[in-house]
Amino acid sequence: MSRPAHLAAQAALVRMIYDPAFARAVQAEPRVVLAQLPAPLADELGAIDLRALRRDRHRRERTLGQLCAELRGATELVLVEQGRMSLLLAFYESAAFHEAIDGGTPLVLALARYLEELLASGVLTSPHLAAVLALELASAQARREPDVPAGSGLVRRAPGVVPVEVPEGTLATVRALEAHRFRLGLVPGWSLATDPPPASLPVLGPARVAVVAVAIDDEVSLVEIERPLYAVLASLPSARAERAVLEEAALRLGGDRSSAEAALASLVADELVLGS
Amino acid sequence: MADRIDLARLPRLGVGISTEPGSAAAGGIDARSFDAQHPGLVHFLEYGSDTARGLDEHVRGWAGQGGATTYHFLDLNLEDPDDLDPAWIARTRAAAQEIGAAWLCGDAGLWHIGPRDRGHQLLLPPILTEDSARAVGDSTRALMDATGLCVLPENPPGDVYLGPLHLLDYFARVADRSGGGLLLDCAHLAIFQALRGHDPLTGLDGFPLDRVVELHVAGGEEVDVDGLRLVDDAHGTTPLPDTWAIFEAVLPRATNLRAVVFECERNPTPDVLDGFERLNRAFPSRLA
Repeated sequence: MSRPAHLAAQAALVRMIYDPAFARAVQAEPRVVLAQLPAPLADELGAIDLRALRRDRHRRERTLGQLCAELRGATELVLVEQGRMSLLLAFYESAAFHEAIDGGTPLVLALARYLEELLASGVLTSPHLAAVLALELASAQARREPDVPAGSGLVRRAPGVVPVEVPEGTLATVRALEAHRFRLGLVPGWSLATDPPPASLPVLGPARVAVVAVAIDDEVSLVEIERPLYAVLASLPSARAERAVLEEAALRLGGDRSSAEAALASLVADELVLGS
Repeated sequence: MADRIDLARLPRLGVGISTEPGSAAAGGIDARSFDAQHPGLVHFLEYGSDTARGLDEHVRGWAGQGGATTYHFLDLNLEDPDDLDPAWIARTRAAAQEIGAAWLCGDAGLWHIGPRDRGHQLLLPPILTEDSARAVGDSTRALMDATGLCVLPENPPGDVYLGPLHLLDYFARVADRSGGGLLLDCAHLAIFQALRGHDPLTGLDGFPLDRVVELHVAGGEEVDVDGLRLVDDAHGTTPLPDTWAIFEAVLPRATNLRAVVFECERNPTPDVLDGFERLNRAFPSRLA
């Protein structure tokens, strides 16, 4: 069922508030840009004096700051690599942002997607950034995992349990960024100077490390796990029959079915997998 | 149209002050200290919060001493019936019950984009259409039925109002649909009237003032945005003349009025005394 017109109009207004280029496009051709809205509402949105959308002058930065707080390491590494804030503010012009507003999905996940797309297109290149982003995205997803019943005869990851595979050294990179942040905080304003110390990041290894993000309320623990445990968790993007999970996990383990079975039993015992 | 709630059964609270989580601890007005220093000016505390932040020690302390309260939600999109989920209802009802809130209230606008999530908070007024008014009325009624508390939708502030209806006609429809009461924010109404080029009292003649249970008064600040004159609902110490004009026009005709809130908790106490004295003269906590 399509969304009521008043809610669609609210979403369009929010997109205009955050994205001045979109607001100008609406002003130029309201019925084209907002074709999903009834014409009178589209016309009203197109007739807005755009200055009225700028009364809260810090809204964009304030919202971005709240989102960056959850992808802290990744967004710091964006600033280290690019040296400019504008790339982060350009999030509001991205398809990821607009689709999140229209679809009613979490903005922090949209910001992560925006950064993933910049990495995929080569605008961002830092391997540390890619690795830390994957880890922080898993944490953000874990915080937001809905508690959906598995259904009869199916197994599922417990809510708030998200596996992720990252290069060796990723967790150390997160710790190095925390240490760097602490050091800069020792002298107020140091980051504004021309000589703040660079972050000393560890070398990322070629090996892949399996990690599970486990959210309890708003707190997330990141724990390195054995390969068979990861194989089972990664085989559970959604609730599935146990047999299908074991088949996929065994494939991930080179055909080692008994390791997959033992891992599943262990995960069930630890209540990281439910429904078996 | 839903069955009408009997608003006459609601308690007369008098003049109150607003507060939000951590406001008093951060240097805002503490209602207990204020009442001790200036007895008879503040008769209840309106606590504005969301389910993420819950109650604070300020409101717990006030309520613990037997002070009257109301609970103002900051995280429910009344325009979207899907936003009224069981978990939110349960947590809000529990918070309101813990402080003995006389009723629930809150701006009937867009408090969050999409889900209740970090970075999603804002406040936009409703889209002033028939469908939106029906949705707000239905959500209000559903929330009353679910909590057993009266729920007062409030007209929100805004820099842009969309939709063909006048704000007062919109909220008249909301009250008709819900069968309940309303919270009329005089400062927010003044902002709307100015943006639409109306006189401050336009539309009041046809408005069901007998459904108004609570009034808000707050200081606003005129701001210039690249040459466009707007009013920032800054909750300062000095209500604008249009706000007072609306308050004084509504007061004698609001036959079920039970509470007036001066939204001013972030200001120094000496600066808000005149406002509280004026409001208490206009709306005594007890009828003579």
